[in-house]
Amino acid sequence: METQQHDSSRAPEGHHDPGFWTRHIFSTDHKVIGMQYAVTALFFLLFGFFLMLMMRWQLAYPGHPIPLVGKALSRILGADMATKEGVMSPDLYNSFGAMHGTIMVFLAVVPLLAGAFGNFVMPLQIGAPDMAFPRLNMMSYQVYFLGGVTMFASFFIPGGAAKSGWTSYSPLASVNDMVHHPNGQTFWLIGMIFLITSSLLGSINTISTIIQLRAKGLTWMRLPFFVWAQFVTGFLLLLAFPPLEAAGCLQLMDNVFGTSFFLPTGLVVSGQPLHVAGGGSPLLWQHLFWFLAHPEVYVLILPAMGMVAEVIANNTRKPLWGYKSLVYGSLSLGFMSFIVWAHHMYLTGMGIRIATFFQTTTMMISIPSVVILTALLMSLWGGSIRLNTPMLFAVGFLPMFGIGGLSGLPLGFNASDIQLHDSYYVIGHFHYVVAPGTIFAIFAGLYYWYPKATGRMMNEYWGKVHFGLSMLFINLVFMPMFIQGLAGMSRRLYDGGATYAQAAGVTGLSPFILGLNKVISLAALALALAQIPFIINFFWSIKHGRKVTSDNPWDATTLEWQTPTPPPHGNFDKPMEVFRGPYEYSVPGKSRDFTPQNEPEQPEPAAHGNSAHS
Amino acid sequence: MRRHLLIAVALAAGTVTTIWTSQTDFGSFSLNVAMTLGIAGAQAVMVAAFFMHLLSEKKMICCLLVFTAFFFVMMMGLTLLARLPANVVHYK
Amino acid sequence: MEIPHTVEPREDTGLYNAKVGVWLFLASEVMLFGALFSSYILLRVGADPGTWPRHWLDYKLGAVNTIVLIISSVTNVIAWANLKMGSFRKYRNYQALTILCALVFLGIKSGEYYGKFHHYTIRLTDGRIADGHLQKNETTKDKVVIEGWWREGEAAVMDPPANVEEKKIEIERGKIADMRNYGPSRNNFAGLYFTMTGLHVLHVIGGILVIFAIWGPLNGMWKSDPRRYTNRVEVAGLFWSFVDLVWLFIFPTFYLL
Repeated sequence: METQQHDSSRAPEGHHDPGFWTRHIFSTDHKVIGMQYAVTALFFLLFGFFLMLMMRWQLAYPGHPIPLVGKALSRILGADMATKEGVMSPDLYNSFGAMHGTIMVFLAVVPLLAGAFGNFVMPLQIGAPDMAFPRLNMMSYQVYFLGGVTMFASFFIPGGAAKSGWTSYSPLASVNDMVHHPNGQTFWLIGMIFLITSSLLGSINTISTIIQLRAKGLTWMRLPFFVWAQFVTGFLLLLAFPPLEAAGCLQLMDNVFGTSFFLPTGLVVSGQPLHVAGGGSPLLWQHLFWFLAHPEVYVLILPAMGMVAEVIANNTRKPLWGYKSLVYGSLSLGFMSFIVWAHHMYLTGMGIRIATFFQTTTMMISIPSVVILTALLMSLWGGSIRLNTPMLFAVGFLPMFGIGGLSGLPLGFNASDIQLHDSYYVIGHFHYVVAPGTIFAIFAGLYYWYPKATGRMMNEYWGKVHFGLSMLFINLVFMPMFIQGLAGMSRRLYDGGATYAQAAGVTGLSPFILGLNKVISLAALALALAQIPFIINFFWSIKHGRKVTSDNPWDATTLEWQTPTPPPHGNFDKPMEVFRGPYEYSVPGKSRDFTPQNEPEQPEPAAHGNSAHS
Repeated sequence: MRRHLLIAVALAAGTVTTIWTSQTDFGSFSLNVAMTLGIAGAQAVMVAAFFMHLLSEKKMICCLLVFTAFFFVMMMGLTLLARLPANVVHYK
Repeated sequence: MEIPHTVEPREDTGLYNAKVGVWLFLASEVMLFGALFSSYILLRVGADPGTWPRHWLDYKLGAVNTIVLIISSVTNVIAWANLKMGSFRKYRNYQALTILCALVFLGIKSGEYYGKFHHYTIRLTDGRIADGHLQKNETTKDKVVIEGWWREGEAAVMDPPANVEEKKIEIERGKIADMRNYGPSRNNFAGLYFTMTGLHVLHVIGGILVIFAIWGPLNGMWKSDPRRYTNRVEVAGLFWSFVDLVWLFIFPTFYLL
């Protein structure tokens, strides 16, 4: 029978042991799939970080060989990508830039939020035995994996990976490499089709599960906010991704079959007219791309807000402030995210009326964002705050997201965007929301749910070190970018803006602004080193972390803490029934400061003592 | 079953009609487009309502489709409206 | 471990899981094909006058395909209705018709594609334009033989006159300035035609494979769990009706307007 540690992947009694392959590689159990997503996505997160470190070196010390890895680059990727000494070529810089964005957004953050946390936590939180379509779940991981392999492989093909930005604007994306067939852009498009398919299958599963598999008594307004966040995110992925899939097919046709959907008539490349039929519209690509990519940023932030909310409620020992406004805020945020996309296209020359429409909706959408952030902030008021590692990251998220969100306002106004568009200000803005924003929320979630998945706590001291160092260095990386952007430094420049410096004194970038490149790059390196304690802690604690003494080490109210640790196949040993809302903390008159959602209402026996805190 | 066959006949009739409307000259090409696509839309509604039993379907599904239709119209409409205005003023 | 509501509808939604799933999937497909139709409209409206072709596709073949898909849709629904009433035999027969219709559709479509790839517009060095289908058995390395027409000018290529008799045209290769077929790279109309009908064909193939699998190899479930089997047939049928619905828009857009 079983050993003392419950093995979550062991088959239920009476079944034959499914064997290694079915249990770990071809599992249909949402928890195993969630962990598969987590491991793969964390690998890509690190890889994307590594790409950026090499880019930051080039920005700080343009033309200097990259230490340690420079020579290897040339040997692995070829002489047109890096010189023998290890200096990065402009093409390599561009492909690192394009792939850093693609990998971080589509291979790391979204799979972590929706694939890892969504898969692992959400069914547990609604009291379900698994997702609605377990085999579809397995397929969506496998297609994601295929997409990841395709993207990773593209670095090693002749011509290298895609290098037209994660935004892949036509016509550059079609003409950037006309020598190699297939080229990195083709791989990117095929990879995107895999990833989008994986996302679609996953979102169908998420939404269906939340609608159909909620436990008895778990009404919509008793759902943990994390589940609401996953629900709205599911719809964003479901309805916004297909236009990008369509656009991807069209660009693939342009690149491989010689069509010209996005190539205008009369295009001349390197002095030669391009031999295509013409008549295409580069703007069409931009519309279809941003139709997805704007809702995509809400995909990046909503589940993160959900995780932060869970951690805050638990560690303030009081209900979330404004649960209803959180829910309605998320719903209106999701709805409006579909009609703001062209604020990424203010400089394309659309008519004034349409630009005003998008500006108006963009201003309006900041309202639910602020409502959600305010509700999370107000949730701290009067709380009995426990500053453990997950809570540090969750509370740290709040001002970071505040900076990120507020810095977006000048970008949302057409007039000010003229100055700031495509500058480092934009890079500062969106990284603040995603890096000290979403990624901090992901860390909060990892530290928080780790004991449920493994039965052990991560080391608290090193967790705090990880938090402190990350918080310090991440601000040193991204705050100077606002200054650089306001001074006029353009993004996607291989030489770190040095070209502009040639006109110093007239319209150039000052030595101070250029010097900030070195500050940022050093801070980025320090940030990378600050992740080492986390990585060691993560793996070391699986076998040597402090064992939990209860299934509910954080004394939480939501249903995922009512399972054995780690949860077995089927999750709950008896059907769940829910009697109250998700955040019944510090309810007056109760003997404990929390009441789990599934605990039946009963008069408190007089002899009942306080719960044992671990 | 009889109802399904009737709908199928109606759809076929629609197809024939739409061939006729597209080939007859009504004056303006836009009117041709409108009539042809209008018939196609009516056919689509019939398929959705009867073959996909949307008429008797639960509220949740209809709600989902209303939102989808809204986002689709927004995507198509705003993309078309955002085209470069024809009367661009050139400053000398 | 049983997933609840796989067969029994959930009380508050009145739906079983797969029905929710398939409608969500169809919503995403509306956005997918909708984006392609939006692209068509934008590109066509933005095309320079005289550069967007008309009457390049045989509407009669298209109409036949439309009727074939309509028939397949109705046989599919009737098959499901029979299954719901308990008659496996009638379901099996009607569904066989559905599969047959799908194969007819694919056959006609392949013929159309083949025709387009072998249909050439040849511009001669003396300025004349010939347009027709390549006769492979008569074409040599010295001359190209097509069965088609002489066109009066670009406008006649973009909007060919109807009902003109085809004739055999021989052209020396030396006199050819430019020769291109009606494949996807010909122009954006052709590109969109192949992309959209191609994507549609992929959906037809996918749909019919699923319907076939449920009808054939996987029909043992009718004995072990008939209600679940019926649900599977219904869900596949919803997808199939959607595929028909998309074609109802593709046909007038490409073949008629």
